[in-house]
Amino acid sequence: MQRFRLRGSGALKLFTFDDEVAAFNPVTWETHLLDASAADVLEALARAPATPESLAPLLSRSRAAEGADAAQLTRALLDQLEAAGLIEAEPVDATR
Amino acid sequence: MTLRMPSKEALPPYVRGLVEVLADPGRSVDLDLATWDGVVRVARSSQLLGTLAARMDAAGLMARCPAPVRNHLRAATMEARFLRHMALLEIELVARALAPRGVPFVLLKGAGYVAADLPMAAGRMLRDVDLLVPRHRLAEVESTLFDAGWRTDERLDAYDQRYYRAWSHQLPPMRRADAPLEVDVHHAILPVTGRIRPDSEALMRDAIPTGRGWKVLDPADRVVHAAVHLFQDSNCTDRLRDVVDIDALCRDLAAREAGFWARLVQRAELHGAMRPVGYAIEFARGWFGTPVGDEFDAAWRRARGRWASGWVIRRAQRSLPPTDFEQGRDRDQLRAARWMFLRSMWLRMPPWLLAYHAAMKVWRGTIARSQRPPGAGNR
Amino acid sequence: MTRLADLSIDALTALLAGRGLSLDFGDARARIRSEVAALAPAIQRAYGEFAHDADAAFHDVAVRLRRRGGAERLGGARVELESDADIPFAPFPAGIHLPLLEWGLNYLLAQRLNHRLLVHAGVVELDGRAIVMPALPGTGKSTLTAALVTRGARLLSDEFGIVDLEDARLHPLVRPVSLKNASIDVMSAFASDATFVPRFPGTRKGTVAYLAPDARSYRERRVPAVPGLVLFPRYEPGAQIRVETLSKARAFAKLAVNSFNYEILGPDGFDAVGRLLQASEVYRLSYGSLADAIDAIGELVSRLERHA
Repeated sequence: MQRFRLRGSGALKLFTFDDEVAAFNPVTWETHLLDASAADVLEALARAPATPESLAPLLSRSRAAEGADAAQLTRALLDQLEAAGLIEAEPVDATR
Repeated sequence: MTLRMPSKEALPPYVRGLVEVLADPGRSVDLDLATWDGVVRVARSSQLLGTLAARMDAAGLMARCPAPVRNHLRAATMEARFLRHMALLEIELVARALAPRGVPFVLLKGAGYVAADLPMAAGRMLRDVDLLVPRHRLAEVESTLFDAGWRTDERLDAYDQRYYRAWSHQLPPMRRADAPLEVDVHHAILPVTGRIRPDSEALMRDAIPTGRGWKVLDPADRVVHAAVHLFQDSNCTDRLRDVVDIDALCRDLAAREAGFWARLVQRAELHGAMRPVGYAIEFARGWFGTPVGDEFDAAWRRARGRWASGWVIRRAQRSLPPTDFEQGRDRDQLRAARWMFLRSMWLRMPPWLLAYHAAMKVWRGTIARSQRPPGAGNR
Repeated sequence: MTRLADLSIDALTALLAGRGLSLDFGDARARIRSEVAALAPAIQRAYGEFAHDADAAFHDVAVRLRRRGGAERLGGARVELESDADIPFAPFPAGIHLPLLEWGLNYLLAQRLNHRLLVHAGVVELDGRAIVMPALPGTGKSTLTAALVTRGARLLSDEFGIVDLEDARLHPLVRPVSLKNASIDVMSAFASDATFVPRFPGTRKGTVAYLAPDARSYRERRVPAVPGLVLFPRYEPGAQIRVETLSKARAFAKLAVNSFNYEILGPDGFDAVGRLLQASEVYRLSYGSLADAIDAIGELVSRLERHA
C-alpha cells in the first residue's frame, strides 16, 4: 500500500485562517494557499506517513466532498500536494 | 635585500578595522560607533557583512554590539541564509539533471564551501553556483541543462557569447526561471588564453566525491583556486574576501590534515600557480596572521624572483584592499587598481586580443551610456 | 538640535556640502551630502521638522548627490546619487534632485533592512493601532496616506510597512509622502494648510510633489504601532463608500507578493505575515472621496477590540 509523507525534514509551517490555510514548504521555501482539508492532510502526514485510504475521512470537512467519491477526491488532493512539492510518495521498501 | 611583506598597518583605517575584527571578533567590544559605521560599509561592499556576522555570532558577541550595528549584522545573516538555502536547492536540481547523463561535476568556490558545510562558509554571500565539468562534455552539459529549464541571458549579444565560449573558461551563466542564483559552468578555472594553465584534468580527477551526486575540490586545490582567482580576476570588490577565504581555508585544512602545506606546494607546482599562491599566502599572513608551514615557505622562497615580487607586493598592497569610502577617491589606489586590472587581463589574454577587447568595451560603454534612460539601474 | 526649518539656507547648504546632514527617520538614520546647492531649499521644506543630529556617528545609509557634466547650464547639467561607490541610477536632470534623493533612499533602504519584513505599503497609526495599506496599483495608497495624516493620523511611512519579526509591530520610517500628477491637486485642495514641496515635473513618473511630515509624526518616529487594520483601498471616481471583508488567506498572498524581502526571509517572513494578519482585521475599501474614506477608516478602527 503506497504511503505518502511530507518532503524534507524541516518543519512544515501553517497559518490557519477560517477555511483557508497558508503553508510554508521548508524544502523549497515556497508559500502555498490551501483549503482546510488539505491542511488537515498535511498535519496528519506531519505526524506519520499514511495511505490515501487512511486520509480519506479528513476530506469530509471540505465543501467539495459533498456527494463525491472520497477516494477519488483524496487521490486528486494528494496529486496536487505532490505537484506543489509539499509531499512525496514513500520509496517502496524492497524487503517488504 | 629584504622583501617588505604586506602588512595590515598599510591598510586604509576602516579596512584594517574590518580585518582585525574578522581575525579576532573579541576586538569588536572596543569599537566605537564611528568605527563601526566605516567597518560595516566596507564589509557590505566587500561581500563580507554576513561573514562578519557569523564570526561575531560564533564568538557570542552579537548581544554586546550596539543595536544599530546588530541590525545590519542580522540583516546580512538573513540574506546569507537565503542564498545558502537557494544554492543547495540549485545544486540538487543540477545533480538531478546531470545524473542520468553520468556527467561528473565539481562544485567550486562558495558553492563548494557551502556544500561541504565548511565552517568558513557561514554567512557567505553567494551570488551564483560555480561548477567544473570536463571540457569535452561542455556542450552536452549545456544542452542537458537547457532541456531541464536553465537559460542563458537573452540580452547577451553575439560578442559576449563569443567571449564566453571561445576566450573564457566558462559557458555564459544560466538561470532557471525565477531562480535567485545563476549556474556558471566552467571547464577550467582560468581562461584558456591565459599564461597560467591549471591542470583541469587533475582538478577533476582528484576531486572528492560526496556521495550526493557532486564532487568538491581536493582541499589543497581549493586554496590554489582561491589564489589564482584573487590575482587573475578583474572584479576589484571580491579581493578582500578572497584573502579572507584563503586565510580561513588554510587554518581549517592545516588543522585537519598533517601534511597540508606539503600538499599545497605539490598542487601549486602541478598547476604552475606557485607565484599567485605564494603572493596570496603572503597577504593572508600579512593581514590575518595565517600560520604558514615551513615546507611552504621554503618552496615559495625558491620560486619567487626577488625584485619582481617586491614590486608586485607593493602594487597589490595598494590595489587589493577596497576603499574605505571616507578617504574619497584615493588616486594612488585607482592607478594601482587600473594596473591590476590590466595585469589580470594580460594574464587572461594575449596582447593583441587585449587591445581588441579593450576597444570593444570602450565602444560599447559609450553606446550604453547614451542609451540608458534616467532611473534605470546600471547593475 | 536644530530643526531644519530653523537653519539658514547657507548653513544647510554648507552642511550638505561638508560632513553631511544626519537625519533620523525612526527605524533608520541617513547621512546626506550634496554638491548640488539647489537641494538645500527643497530638503528644508521636505524635512523641515527634522533635526540635524551633529553627533550621530552611525548611519544606516550614506548618500551623496554629485553634479555630473560640469557647470549647471540650463538643460545640460545632471545629478547622480552615489552610496559607497555604488551608483544605482543613471543621472537625472539637475532639477530633479529631491526625487532622486528620495528614490535612492527607498532603493537602498529596501535592500538593507532585512532584519525586518518590508511590505510595500503605506502605514499610519490611528488611536494606537496601525493601518497597513499595501501598495497595489489603483489604490491611491499615497494619497490616502497623506489625507489620513493631514486629518490627524500619525505617519509611519508611505512606502514601507516595516514589520518586526518578533512581534509583528510596525516600525516608523518617517519621510515625505510622495504624490504624483493628479493626486497633487487633490491633496492640495483637501489640505490647503499642509506643507508641500514644490512640484518636480518631468520625472519618469510624471510630476512629483512631497508632503512634509508633521512635527508629531517626527517626534514619535521611534514609537512602533501595534497591528490594527490591513486595508486594501480602491479609488473609484464617484463611487459610494463600500467596506467589504477579505479572507485573511487572500490577504496573506497579497502581502507576500507586495513585499520587498518576503522571499529572502523564508520562514521568518512567513511568520511575520501570519502574525500581522492574526493581530489585524482585514478589509477592502472602495471610495470615491477622501473624506468618506477617512470616516470609514475611523469607524473601522473604533470597532477594533481595545488593545490591552
